[in-house]
Amino acid sequence: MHSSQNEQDSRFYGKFALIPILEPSNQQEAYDMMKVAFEMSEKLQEPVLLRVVTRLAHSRAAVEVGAQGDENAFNPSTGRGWVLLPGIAKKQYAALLEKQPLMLEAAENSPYNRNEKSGTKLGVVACGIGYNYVKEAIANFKIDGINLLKISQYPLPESKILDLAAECEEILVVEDGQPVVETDVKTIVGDKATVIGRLTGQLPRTGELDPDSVSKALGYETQSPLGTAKNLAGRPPQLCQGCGHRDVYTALKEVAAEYEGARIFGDIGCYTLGALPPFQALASCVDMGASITMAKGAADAGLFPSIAVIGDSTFTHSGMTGLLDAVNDNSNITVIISDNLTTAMTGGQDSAGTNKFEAICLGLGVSPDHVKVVTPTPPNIPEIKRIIKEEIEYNGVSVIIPRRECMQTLMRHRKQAKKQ
Amino acid sequence: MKKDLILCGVGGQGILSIATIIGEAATKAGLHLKQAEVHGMSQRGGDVQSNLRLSTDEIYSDLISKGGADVIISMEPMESLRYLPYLGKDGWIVTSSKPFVNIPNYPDNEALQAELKALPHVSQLDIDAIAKKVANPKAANMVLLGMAAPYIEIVSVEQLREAIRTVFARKGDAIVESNLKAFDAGVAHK
Ligand SMILES: Cc1ncc(C[n+]2csc(CCOP(=O)(O)OP(=O)(O)O)c2C)c(N)n1
Ligand code: SF4
Repeated sequence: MHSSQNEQDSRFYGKFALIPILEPSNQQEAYDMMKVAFEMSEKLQEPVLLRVVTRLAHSRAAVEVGAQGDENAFNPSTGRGWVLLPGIAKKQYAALLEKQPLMLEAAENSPYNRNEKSGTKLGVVACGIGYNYVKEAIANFKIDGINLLKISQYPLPESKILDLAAECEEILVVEDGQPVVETDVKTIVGDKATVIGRLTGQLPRTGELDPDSVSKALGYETQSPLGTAKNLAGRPPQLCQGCGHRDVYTALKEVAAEYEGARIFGDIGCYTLGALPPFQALASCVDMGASITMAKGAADAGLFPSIAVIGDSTFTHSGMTGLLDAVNDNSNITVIISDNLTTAMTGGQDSAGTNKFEAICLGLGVSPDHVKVVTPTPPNIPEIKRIIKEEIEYNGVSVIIPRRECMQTLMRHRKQAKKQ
Repeated sequence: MKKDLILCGVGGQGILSIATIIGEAATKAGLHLKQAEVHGMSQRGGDVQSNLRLSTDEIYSDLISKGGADVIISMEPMESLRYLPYLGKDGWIVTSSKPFVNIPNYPDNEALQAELKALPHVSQLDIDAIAKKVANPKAANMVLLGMAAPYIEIVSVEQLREAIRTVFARKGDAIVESNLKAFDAGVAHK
């Protein structure tokens, strides 16, 4: 979850594409499965999906590494398999369907899909990291009588699930993300067993699983002996002190306040924090590049002023096409490319368009009189406000580029320079 | 033996170096270890937290259960209270006593202190002042680690000292020494 629009489960894509999925339950499996996935992919000549959930992506543990294999021979395809004209694609689909029994067989025999049984009071299907939470609860509360089926390889091993249903009246499905397996297990077992999980309320329908929710679903509640604190306030993230995005928002908010109905469409990066206090400036943040396309749509529908704020890296990722569209339609928008010379939010990597933004905008057809570069610092705010206002008043596409390096990369660069 | 630690504070205060040092000591001691942390945005003044689990046996969950933590190690007093639901009944809070106020609705400090003092096991110290006195302001997190060291148990104070030497080695002897001084000042506080 964390920063997606909602909880999106990649296992749907695996099913949709009819390919195997591996879902590690811990760091060691994540490491081992990468090798397994490549081997499986070579053998089947199909992609294999490795599903990593939030918690696994944001945690670490020591892993035993194996010997590195040799690089595959360079072997460019000579057939027509990559020419996906309808005649060829149809045959490929039939071939893919033929491989399905192989994939199912592999999952039925996979060491990653295995039973651990201490009884038959409750059947538990634990997918990926869900297995860890079940094991944690079993150890914590010394739970007995569970017939646990660990699932880490798909397609679902149907016979293993039917075996579970033959022994247990009730099956709890523990999976992170959406109730993908819960739905499938229901279909597989029919009326042979009752299936419970996220859909039936034993586990919460939203949010990441944790040891508390999984213990509860198994009938054991974790407690907070010292309670919850009273003297507590939320501490949301903020733009760094001295960040240029701050000066951009200060100027922009003041100008926008002069127009009734002004909307500022945001995008993805550090500057998305402009949606939170103290600025609360943004009307939207949807996906990379949407600031420009949404501003364009809004302007075309009659909104004025319609302003987009986008980062330099996001602009080269997927803002340029929207800007071209706006130029072609002469939409009345003001685009602010807040250029901090880096991809700050993801850790300060280089940004693909550095030093090229004016040329890119001119190349896409923005009028040279309406591509303006400013330096976002507190003393420059009056000038930036004046320019924003002028460009809002211009009926057409304008681009303002406030440019000043991110404070974090600036400090890093200074440290490096000192060392040399 | 098993120890579950919650490290917390405000983004930029240096909790991740504390995690690195405990992690180094635990790995050297041959313990199982899992560390889970909140991602991104951590440089930007928001609350940050990391679950660190150390054990002689296999560890399953990456996350600590409610009531499961042995020690909350916090760079900031209010942040230490945020994770109270996770603290076990005999657990310790080891925290800096100095509020970091970057929000308009920060609680009244007297009320906050009263709540902390009402808890059974709390160790507090103005780690910034101590770090400034014995080493340098940047070593405040090492003062905190020193304060927490006796409660971590599963790795000894000496093993943590060794880990500080290893982790800071490439920054030179002077940095190693000042971090050790800060750490020892924390250990001395009881
Ligand atoms: C499709 C997609 N790919 C990758 C990401 C991860 N991501 C988050 S912010 C960001 C780029 C931010 O850089 P920039 O626009 O320059 O803004 P800054 O953080 O520097 O202010 C990326 C790549 C994403 N959110 N969506
Ligand atoms: S990391 Fe850089 S761009 Fe992001 S808020 Fe801090 S100074 Fe601004």
